[in-house]
Amino acid sequence: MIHIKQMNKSFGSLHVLKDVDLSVSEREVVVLIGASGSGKSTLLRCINYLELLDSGEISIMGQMVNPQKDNLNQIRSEVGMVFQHFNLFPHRSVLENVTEAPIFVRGLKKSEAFDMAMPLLEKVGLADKAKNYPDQLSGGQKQRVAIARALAMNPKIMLFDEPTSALDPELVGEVLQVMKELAKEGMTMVVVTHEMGFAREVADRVYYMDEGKIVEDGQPDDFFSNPQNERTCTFLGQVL
Amino acid sequence: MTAITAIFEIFIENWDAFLFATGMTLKLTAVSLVLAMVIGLVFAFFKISGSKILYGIAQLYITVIRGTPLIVQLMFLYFGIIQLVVLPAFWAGALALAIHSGAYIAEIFRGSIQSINRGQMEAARSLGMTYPLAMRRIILPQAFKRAIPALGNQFIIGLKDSSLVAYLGVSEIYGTALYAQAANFQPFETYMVAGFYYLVLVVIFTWLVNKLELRLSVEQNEVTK
Ligand SMILES: Nc1ncnc2c1ncn2[C@@H]1O[C@H](COP(=O)(O)OP(=O)(O)O)[C@@H](O)[C@H]1O
Ligand SMILES: [Mg+2]
Repeated sequence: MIHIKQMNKSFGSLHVLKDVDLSVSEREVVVLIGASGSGKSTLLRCINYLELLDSGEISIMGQMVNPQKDNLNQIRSEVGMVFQHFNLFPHRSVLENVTEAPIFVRGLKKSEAFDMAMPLLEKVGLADKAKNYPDQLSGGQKQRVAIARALAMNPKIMLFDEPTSALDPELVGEVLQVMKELAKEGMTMVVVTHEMGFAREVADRVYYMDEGKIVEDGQPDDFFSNPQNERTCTFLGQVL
Repeated sequence: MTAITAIFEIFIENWDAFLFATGMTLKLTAVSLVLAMVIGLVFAFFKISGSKILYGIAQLYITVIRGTPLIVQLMFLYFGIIQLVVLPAFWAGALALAIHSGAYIAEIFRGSIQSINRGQMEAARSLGMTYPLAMRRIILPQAFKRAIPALGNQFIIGLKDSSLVAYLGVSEIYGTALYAQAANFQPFETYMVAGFYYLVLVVIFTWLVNKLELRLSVEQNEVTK
């Protein structure tokens, strides 16, 4: 589904991603961990072309992407993204947040979009909040709406950038629950998170990033019980 | 005492002329403000476009407008405009006022657009929206709401500035006073009456803008609950 080869990205003189290689196959759930500032968000944003890479290759669903030529908007609409700070549209109701892109990007009729959105809101347990505005929701509810909003575009891949980091501890579970269900349904997912329990339980593969490089990866059981890299050990020692 | 009686007499005598003039002032203000918002939005986009050339054009425009007196701009634009197209004084005046306010409104819009969290644009783009679509549906509605207090303020400034269009021969409030005092030889009292009209209009609009602001902030609070 995603093949990244030798990806490099700098912001000015700051070399943020260094020769990153990463492959994600269909229905795979990949968890990306690493210290703050190690480049995890930048990596996700490059996959979605919110940032353009300086060198290297990304192919998504077998398609090499040439940002100069290709329709990035179409690619983005196939790759859903969930942000740490939700980024819901505050001037739109919950239902409108979910239907906005299907109507204005996919060209669905309003009624079709509503018919498609309501089951998604039900799926994340928020059908009764359809008419509310984002600021009337708790953080956990906001994030679940954000997930429904991304799903409304029928993405083949979902990217999560620390989806629970801005939440009060008691609200983390409800969001992880929705993500677990998605994983069970076979969604291809790349998840940046500090929730090691989630990584252990759901991930097919865990990657550890340090200073812009992927320094270790493995299946969750091996990875957590028997980390090879010294820096991974230090990091796991801090978070576990 | 006689001064007060004289003012009152002028007020009564010119009642209908000033009422007509008030309508003219309001029309002039409204038309120029609507045009200025269009101009302002265009130049706000120039500034945030990322293009150095467009940014430079906008910056030049704003610098010139801010750096020269309105009356000079009005005369310059008026004589420039009527050389290019035949326009009634009202429209030439409204256009000139719009070009003036447009510079200030451009900065208002630029500020309010840039004040919207950049996560909003990213979320919109990540859903496959194009930049123009994301602007129109996601960023601008929020930016516009945030700009309302500053726009209201600019509206009040524009209302007062419209008085200078009298020199182009438009019979708005100040223009009417110019004529009246030439006829009645009582400039002090006549300008007093004109000032009174402006003051009442500005007080009314200030009140309206405050009310609108209050309503917006109440909405905001209700939403935050
Ligand atoms: N738009 C940007 N401009 C400049 N520097 C950036 C930008 N985005 C991220 N960075 C820098 O790149 C580094 C990696 O950031 P990020 O990918 O957000 O790390 P993480 O998500 O792992 O915490 C940080 O040092 C950050 O300050
Ligand atoms: Mg991050």
